[in-house]
Amino acid sequence: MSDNYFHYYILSYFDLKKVVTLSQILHVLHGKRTPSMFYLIEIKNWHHGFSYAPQITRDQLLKIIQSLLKQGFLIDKEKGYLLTNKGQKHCDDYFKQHYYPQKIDNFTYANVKTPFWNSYQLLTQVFSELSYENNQYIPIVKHPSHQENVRQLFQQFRLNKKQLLNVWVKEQLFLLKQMDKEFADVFANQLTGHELIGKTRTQLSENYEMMALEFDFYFKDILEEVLQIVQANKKNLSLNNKVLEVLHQETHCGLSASTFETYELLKKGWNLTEIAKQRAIKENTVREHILEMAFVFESFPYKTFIPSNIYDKLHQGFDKIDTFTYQEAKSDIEQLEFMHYRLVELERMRLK
Amino acid sequence: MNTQIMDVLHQKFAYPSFRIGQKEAIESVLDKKDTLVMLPTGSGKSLCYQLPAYLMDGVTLIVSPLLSLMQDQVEQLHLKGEKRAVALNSLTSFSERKRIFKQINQYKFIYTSPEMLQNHEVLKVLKKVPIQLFVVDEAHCISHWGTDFRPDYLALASIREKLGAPTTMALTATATKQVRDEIIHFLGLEIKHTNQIIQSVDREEIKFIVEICEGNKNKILIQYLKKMTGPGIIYFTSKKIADDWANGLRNEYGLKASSYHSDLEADDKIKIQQQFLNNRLQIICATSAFGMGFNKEDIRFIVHYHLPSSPEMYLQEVGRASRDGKLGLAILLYQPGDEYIQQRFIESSLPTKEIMTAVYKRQYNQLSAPDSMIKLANYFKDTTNSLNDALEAIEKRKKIKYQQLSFMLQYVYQTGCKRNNLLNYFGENKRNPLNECCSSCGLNQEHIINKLNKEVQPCNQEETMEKILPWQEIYKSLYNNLQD
Repeated sequence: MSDNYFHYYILSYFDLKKVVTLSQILHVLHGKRTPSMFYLIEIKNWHHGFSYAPQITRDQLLKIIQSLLKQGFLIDKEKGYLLTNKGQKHCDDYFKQHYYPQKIDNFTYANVKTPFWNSYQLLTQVFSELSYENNQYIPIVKHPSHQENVRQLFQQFRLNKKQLLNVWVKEQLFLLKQMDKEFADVFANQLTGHELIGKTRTQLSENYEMMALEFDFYFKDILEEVLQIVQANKKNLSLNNKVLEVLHQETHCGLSASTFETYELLKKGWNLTEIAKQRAIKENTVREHILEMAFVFESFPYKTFIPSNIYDKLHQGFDKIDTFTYQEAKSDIEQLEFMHYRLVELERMRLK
Repeated sequence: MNTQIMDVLHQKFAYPSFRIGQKEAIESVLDKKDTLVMLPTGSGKSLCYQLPAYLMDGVTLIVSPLLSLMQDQVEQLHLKGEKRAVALNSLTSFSERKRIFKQINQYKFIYTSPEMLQNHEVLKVLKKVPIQLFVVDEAHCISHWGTDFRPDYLALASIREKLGAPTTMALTATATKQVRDEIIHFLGLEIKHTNQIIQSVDREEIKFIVEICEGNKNKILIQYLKKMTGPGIIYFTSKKIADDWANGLRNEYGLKASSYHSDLEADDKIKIQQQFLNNRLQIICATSAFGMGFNKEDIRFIVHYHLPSSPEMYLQEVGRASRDGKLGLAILLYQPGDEYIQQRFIESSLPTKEIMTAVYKRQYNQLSAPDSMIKLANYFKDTTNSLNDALEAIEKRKKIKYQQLSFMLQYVYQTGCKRNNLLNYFGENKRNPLNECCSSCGLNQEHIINKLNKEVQPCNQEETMEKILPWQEIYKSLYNNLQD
């Protein structure tokens, strides 16, 4: 197991005291979007694994867990598993030597990370070739939607190409300067431009003596940092923000397609009942959508969905008992809905 | 007309002359004759339909089986300055599709997939444009006997009719007589009125070697790689083995090697292609995912580490070597038992009885098979009368695949000329022996490898390719001094 990053990564999901099940990990890796999964990921800080391996099967994961059991790193407990002290030691030792994902602590960029990277590579190439006045080159990103976005960007800004190029060049310098030095090197070495072919992930991972999966997580962290910088510097990175905005919309702002539809109606001022009627879905489904929005958007105005008296009573309940359950709350508070409970629970978790 | 054809060849494509078969194919469609073109790999099939487009009014509609192939063709046309080329496929976004539809009359070349043509809306739009030439690329996909049978290709005859039965050109590189007859039949063409321009599949410049290994395959491969310096591809049937070999060649033998398979991210695939094209990589350890639509002229050798599934597949892959017409080497390494890998592929590539039964009972939720398999199962269901008939059809198809595999085994073991053996499979007559033809014809390995190495451009040894550069340096070279 000495070179098996994924085994140790899976091992890192387990806890000495709290049981973790195979299904929980599988749902995280598959990116299952239910309120309980969002909550679990948030509380355990498992965002890095969200939707990481949509193709992995239950059998494949079970095989990994069985191998961890065999080595005494895990033990069976109830319907899940507990980490052993030996397992924890091995896991800690392993991640002292290897990179462990640490930058992703939210769902905001889960959908947009890869499209942004593809667009960024293509734009860098387009602008690089433009600066050398060359239009005879093979695009590094072939997906038509990215090429279409580039075309639209040029149309949209209505600046002459050279002006747009100048903006891009300045923004790229700003971005690279803001980044962690090593992150910026890894990011830049993958870029392709005029007479410059970017390095592949494999080539870079070998240079950094990382395993392929390890590098994958490392690079995801780099992209997370890039997106945070872009988002935080709207003025200095206006072109980048424009690109991000388009891609964010195309990827449903980090939501599922259905929740995004509900979100669009909410923005128009529709209430929960109206949305359910219009979309021919259950009100409870709309509530689940609202919960998803609250988990994905940290600044989502969730309080508007909780009557103030219920909001206060829930906080009082939690103040008294840290482990205030929904059942206890339900017996105390009239007209309490699960959505209210979960939203307050999320608020308290985030405030901690 | 002859002068016009030559003018277009010079002006639009910058070629001094035609390669064998091209001119006949072009003249045939300009004469409004349905045409089946079989030209060997790397002989410039796309020119056969791209050139006539400039001498005809209206649109050339090209049906292609692979998204990446379509995209490559469109890009190549764009690079030649032809902006009126577009790909319309499942990757095309809704808004982009709307834009294409709106300006459909402005295109000269529309590349699309057989699946897309079954979309009612797409067909409705295409009916409005004057299609002068209907091109079916990789036409062997229509045949049950072909290696890459695609059920969607069978809908092309009725689509062609709906589009007003335009002049049709079907293109393939490797098809037996049986496959060619099926192409004509399933496209709804009349055999009597279809011009067939058939060239030999033979590529004289490529020499064939078969090595029967005795547990020493890796050693033999390394021996070859130590001797051959040139750009080359090693084909494997497994992604993991391709990765392991690329790793080993880099780290243990200092070779500039990279693996290439379907697990790679799309941008990394293009980077590898570009690095190989620019001689920054010497060797690609690939699965069959590598090569289609990729054109590097000076690939000097193709090694097959595993037994290919069929002679069609073998010639397609081997045909990626020596597109510059200079010497090339095709080496097949065979270890007794290798055929079992292909047998497993055959068994897993066709629907099982369980899948067929579930499809017949419409119990899709009980199926864990991939979509492509369910599609294939539905094809067998739709084209037969009963479950038993469908299972029989699957068995028949399996038998064809086993026959193709069995031919490959025969190719390995037979002691006669390897080239003639392959030509014979494609119904071609035996040819006079060539100098240094194959391992059965007394080819002198040392001599041929020496000759091969003389054709090799040195690999780009730039250190920059190896090491990580500080971001400032990359940034500086990206833009033409703009940042100052």
